[in-house]
Amino acid sequence: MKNLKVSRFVIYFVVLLFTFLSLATLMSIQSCAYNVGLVKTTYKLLTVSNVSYDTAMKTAADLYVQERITDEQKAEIIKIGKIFAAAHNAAIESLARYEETKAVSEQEKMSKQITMASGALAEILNLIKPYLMEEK
Amino acid sequence: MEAAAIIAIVELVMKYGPAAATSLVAGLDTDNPTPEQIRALKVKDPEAYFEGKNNG
Repeated sequence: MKNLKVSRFVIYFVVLLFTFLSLATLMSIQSCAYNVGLVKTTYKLLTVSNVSYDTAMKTAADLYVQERITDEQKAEIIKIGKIFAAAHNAAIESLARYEETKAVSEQEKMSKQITMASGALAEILNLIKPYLMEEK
Repeated sequence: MEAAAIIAIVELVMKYGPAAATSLVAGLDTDNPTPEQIRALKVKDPEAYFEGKNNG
């Protein structure tokens, strides 16, 4: 049963990679019309992004309580977290407005914010990754 | 996003288990999200995760 769950996660994360690449492709097309596929794909990508950030920040808070990260490291994580949160929430708002108004001008804004959020999330994960390796 | 970051996400989601997995699966199963469902994906400020938590 546990292996099944693990396999499911692996499948979902392969889907994530595929989704990420698909999104990049869709964004590069610079479509001139409302694209329902773009809404679906971006929503899934932002779902994964939301869960990843939430889980990473809970982990960072646990590491802080356990005195495994310093006040300086906590401040760095918060600094990057703010960049992520601002970019992610702006992308969410653009997607919601795109769905409401079908205005293609929101597409470019979304693309920029997602790229910024993705970079910040990777930085947060890189900061906490060494501590996860220690647990093995 | 680099492969190492994806692996870190998998490790974290597996560690934190059901709550994270449930919202992940629910989101991935949604095909036609409404603006309300989209806005529900907004995240909270990073400082909120550290509130009331002391080092040492």
